[in-house]
Order: sequence, then C-alpha cells, then structure tokens
Amino acid sequence: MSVSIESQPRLTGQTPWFEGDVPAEAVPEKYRLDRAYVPKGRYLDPEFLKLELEKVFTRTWLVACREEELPGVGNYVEYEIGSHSVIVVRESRTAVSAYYNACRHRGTRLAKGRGRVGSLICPFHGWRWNLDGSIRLVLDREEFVPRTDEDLGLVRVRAETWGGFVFITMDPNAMPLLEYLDPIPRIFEPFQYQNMRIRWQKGVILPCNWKTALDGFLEAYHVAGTHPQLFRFDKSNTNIASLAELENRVWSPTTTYERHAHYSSIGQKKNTSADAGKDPTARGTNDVVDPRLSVALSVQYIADDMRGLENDRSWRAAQALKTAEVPEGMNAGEYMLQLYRELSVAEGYDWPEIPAEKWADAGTAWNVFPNTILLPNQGSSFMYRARPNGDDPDSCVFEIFSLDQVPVADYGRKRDHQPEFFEDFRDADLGEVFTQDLMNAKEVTVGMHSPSFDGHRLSEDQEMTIYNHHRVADRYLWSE
Amino acid sequence: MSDDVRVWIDQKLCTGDGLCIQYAPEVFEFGGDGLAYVKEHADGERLSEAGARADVPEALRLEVIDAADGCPGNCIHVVRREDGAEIAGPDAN
Ligand code: FES
Ligand SMILES: [Fe+2]
Repeated sequence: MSVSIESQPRLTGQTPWFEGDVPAEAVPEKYRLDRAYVPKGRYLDPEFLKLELEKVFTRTWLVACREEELPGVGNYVEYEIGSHSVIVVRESRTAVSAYYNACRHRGTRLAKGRGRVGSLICPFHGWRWNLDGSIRLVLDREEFVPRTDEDLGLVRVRAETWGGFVFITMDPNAMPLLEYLDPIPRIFEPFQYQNMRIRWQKGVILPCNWKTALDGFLEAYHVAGTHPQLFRFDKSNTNIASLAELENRVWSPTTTYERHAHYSSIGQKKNTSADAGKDPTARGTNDVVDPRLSVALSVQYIADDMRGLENDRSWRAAQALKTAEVPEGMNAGEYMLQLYRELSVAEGYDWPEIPAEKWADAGTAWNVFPNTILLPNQGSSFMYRARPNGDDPDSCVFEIFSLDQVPVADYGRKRDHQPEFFEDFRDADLGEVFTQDLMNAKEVTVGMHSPSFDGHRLSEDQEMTIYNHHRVADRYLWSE
Repeated sequence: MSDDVRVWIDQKLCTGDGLCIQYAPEVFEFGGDGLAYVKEHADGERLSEAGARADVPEALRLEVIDAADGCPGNCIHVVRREDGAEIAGPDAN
C-alpha cells in the first residue's frame, strides 16, 4: 500500500497550523481556538460532546482492541462508543471483521463484552448469522416480506490492523488506516508493536471529560508538580518539589504533525536545546553520585510502580548495572541498554539495536487522534484510551494497556486475556505515578466549571499536543 | 492411563451454533440438517449416525475439550478411550 507522506511536522515554540485547517470564522465563537488557547466549552458543554460523537468518533479510525484478544475463529470483542456498539470478530484464521452490533429484525444488540461463538445468534427471536455476516437462519422466513440475503446480512464496519491493534471506522469513505496513521507506522517500526501482547489491561471511570483524561498524559510539563518523587532517591517522598529541584526539572517539548502529535522528554531544561531528541540513555535520579545507581533506580521504580514500559528483564539489567564495571567510553545509561539487550537476546527476543535518530523521532508519547495515546519504546509500552461515558461530558471511561514484546518462540502462542474494570480508580491498584495523574482529573474538572475560568492557557513549547487535538477535531466538527 | 479420547455429540441438544467447528474443523462438521456431527479424519466422512463416536487425534485433544466446554447446547461429550469416563462435557465432574 502506498502511503502519502505528511507535511513537515511543526516543531516546538509555536501554535500549530496546517494547510487545510478550518478557518477561525467557521467555528462558533464559544468554541473558537486562539493562539495556544482552548475555550472550556469544548470540555464542559453537553452540546459539544454530542457534536464530537456525531462528527469525530463516527469519522475517524479508533482502536477497538488488540489482535491477541481475538486468538481463535469466532472470538469477538464488543467496542462501544457513544450510543453505538460494534462487534469485532475473528472471521477466519487470517481475517478480522467488524459489524454494527444490531439485529436486522428489530435491532437487538447481538453480542456483549467478549467471548467465542460459532455464529452470531440474536438473543430475542434467534435470527442467526455466519461469522462473515451472511444470514444463516430466520425462523418462519416465509411469513416475512421477501427480502434478499444481502438485506438481512449484518452491516459491516471497516476494520483494519496495524501493529497488532485492530482499528475500526464507521465512515465508509475514510482514508485507509495506514494513511490516516502516518507518520506513526513509519516512526514506530523499530518498536515491533506487532510482536507485543497485553500484559494487563485496566479500565476505570474518571470524573472528567474524556479529553481531560488524555491531556494529563499528553505533556510532561506536569511532572515536577504532580510526580515530585520521580527524580528523587527516596521515592516515598512525595512532598512538593523544592525550588532547587525545580531548577533541575526536565523539559519535554511537543511536536505536532498534521493529525497526530507527541512530546519528547529530552533532559533538564537548563542543559538542553530544542533540537535535542529523546535519548533513552539519558535518565537518572537527582542527588545520587553513582551514575549506575542513578539509572538503575529510575528503571526499577517505573518497573515496580507502573508495571509497564519496563519489565522483568530491564529490572534485572538495572540490578546488574548497580555493581557492574561500566566499560571505558560508555556512560551508565548506554551500558544499561547494552545489558538489557544482552539479556533479551539470550532469552529469545528479537532485539535489534535502535539508532539514536530513531529514538529521537519517536519521542515519548503520541496522541493517536482522536482518543488514544501510545508510548513508543523497545520491549514494553503503554497504550491509553479514553471514551465518553454516556452523554455526560464530565465522565469518561479511561483504560490503560500494558504491552510487552514476547519471545520469538511465542509469536504464535495463544494467551488468555481478561481486562479488569473498576468504578473507582483508587481500587485499581495502579501504583503511585498513575494514581497521582488520575487524582488531577476531578480537580481539573471542578476548577474548569468555575465562572472565573474561561479556557486552557497552554505552553507553546510543552503543551501543543493538547492544542493539536482540538485543531484536528475542528476539521471534523465544522466540515460536512 | 493414556490421555487418548473419543468424542460424540448428542444431536437432540445441538443448537447448530458451530462453535465446535471453529475450534476443530478437523473433527466437527455440519450435516445437511444444520446439526454438528463428528468425523475421524480431517478429510474423512462425517459419522452421520446420531451419537456416533470418533477417536480424537492427540494434537486436537485440547481443541475438542475447549469445544465441549464452550458448546452453547452443552451436548459434546469427550470421553477417555480407555475406560469411557467423561472428561469434558455435561457428564464430566
Ligand atoms: S430482534 Fe433479533 S431476532 Fe428478533
Ligand atoms: Fe503523569
């Protein structure tokens, strides 16, 4: 498939604008974006949520599930968005299909949740369909007005896959998935998402708009304020950062493309420049003199607390690093990556060395428009997904997927998968870092409702990912 | 005791769902009446007699057990070849 190359990214330091954007006059004033400014109605108004459900979610490509959730023919996963339900089903060993989850008789939803079936059977009057959507059985069909099999067949929703993710779109005229995702498939290629599998998946209800949930993961400007322990030796110390610590805060500029955007955590603000890129060897813990310990503690804290991005092998590599003899000409971060690679290769993983410029292009976290975030990384990754919860703009379903690459020998192995769901994120055992993030959801929402607040005032360096979402959404919202 | 098993279907209870055929098309097949029947080889004739038993190749044993566990009609019986004890299906304990 040929993929059109997107226009050049807009780098940090300016509010992005791309050819083909909707002119400001086309947007009602209360929802109109301004330079690095997003009015609050885009989060709080029920009317705006209605528009998003009608015009954005029905016309974009959405992550419905992972391919490993559909291991056998007949396995299905229901995907709900707004008031729509779509059923994604493995139709054959090589094909995944999606259908509107609605009976052709009187509309009943055909399947719920997830499971495995031989055919789709309506729970109301028992009409049946084959997995390819063709009608198999209508009781007393002679009593009905004659209708073609085509008329009685399930109505398809487009489904395409990339990197082990199954995407769907309800727009029959949408561009092909790979074109829509560009440049993500090109930039993510070294990280082998197709060879990752779900380690765990947790969903929670958050008392905030679905975009507020994502915004909290679309910038790292909040790290100093929200996660003060991240760079401390004593991770249990979550006191607010001292001014001396703020002096050493990291800087994470954003880059926006025509549709998607990302930020890159590239080091301490005082020592870095806008053209530096993300460097996986540059990490550490403040006030720890031994650089081996500094790197190792950072890796192990993420592995233990977030249970993702790192894994059992990087934890062991970090442990070995603490007392290792770091070779001449290498720093502790570089040697960490080498130990991790050696362990991974020895344990049967496909683990090519990824060149620095590819790490830099990938950055830290991407908004896959409209409602998904992916953290590109070798070996382990996170995906976050947020969806509106009914028609309440102040409530959403937020999910975290922790993904791990599997050894080459396990590529064909089927795995059991059971997502977990919690009404309250405090019951979900998500660790300190995620809990800190999710605590903000309610506070942001309460504050945004205040009559004193009119809209988000964003950093043009570090928060244009958030602005970009709204800029792209305008293209769907205010066009036919 | 060996793990070899045989399988049979109680066609009176078969719902015609076809889940068993998704699990193991080498063992299960629809008859012209829309009910599922068993067969002994992937390209063999299906055993058209109600309740007929077929030997299950070792490689398909787990698939056939999954089919019995998931069968919506709860009508697939997997029995040990040696002593006839049911290891999956409505009469397994
Ligand atoms: S509504 Fe589905 S069969 Fe009647
Ligand atoms: Fe955070």
